[in-house]
Amino acid sequence: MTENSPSQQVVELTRQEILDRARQGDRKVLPQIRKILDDAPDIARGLGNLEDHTREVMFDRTAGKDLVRREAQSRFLDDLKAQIAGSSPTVLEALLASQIVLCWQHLRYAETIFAQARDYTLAQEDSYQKHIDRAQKRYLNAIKTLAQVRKLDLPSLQFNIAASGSKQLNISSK
Amino acid sequence: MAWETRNGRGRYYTRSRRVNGHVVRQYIGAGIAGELAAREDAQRLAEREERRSAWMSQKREMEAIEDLVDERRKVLMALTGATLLHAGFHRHHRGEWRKRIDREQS
Repeated sequence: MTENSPSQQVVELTRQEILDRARQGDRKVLPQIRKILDDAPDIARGLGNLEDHTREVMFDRTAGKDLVRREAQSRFLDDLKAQIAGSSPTVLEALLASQIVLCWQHLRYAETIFAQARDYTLAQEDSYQKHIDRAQKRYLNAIKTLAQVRKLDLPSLQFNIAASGSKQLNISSK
Repeated sequence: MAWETRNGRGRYYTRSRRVNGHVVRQYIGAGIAGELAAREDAQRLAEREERRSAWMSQKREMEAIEDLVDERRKVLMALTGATLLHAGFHRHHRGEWRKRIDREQS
């Protein structure tokens, strides 16, 4: 029985494991990363869907059935996202800008929930505070990441989106 | 809080509370006094249970939303890392991202 070589072991990693390794700067997964980046529209679309879903869940809590309030909040967040992303963002910058806005919305949600809370115990107050602290940390980290990516000035990255039966669409990130 | 009977001589209501680490049972009484105290205690217990249940539901909702935000963050951070590696950057001592210098060419 032969043992798997390191490269074979990498091949057997799941996409999430590869991405986790990439996050840590492991160059052994570079070939797999190239493949994943070819499929990046999938990921970008998935992130977009997840963002929409999360936003809606928070709107349910902060605006309820009030459609005017919902729409106003939605527009405000879209404006904020556009301002942070700037006039010609790369795909990655746009995704990071939307993460900043999502984290900001989450922070506001956490603060609102705490402000509305009544008759809470000391343990519950501690839980609310920790929740707010984590939201704030996530928000600041999102800002830091976008600043880092902008500072590094990445070369253009092209995503090829080709849905079955449709025309090929090339999105240049820069 | 409980109704008790002693030697078959009717029932009476008592309350237990903690004083200096010891449980002290307070005699409330039988009849109307016991009934009123029992009703008051039951209502207080129900309110406490309602608050606890509301808190648990709130906590579950907060955690669910936080999980969604965090899930997106994880995927995005991984995608950022992948993009940077692909573009020739590396993490210096698992810290900041730096451009890889090709020593053979330089």
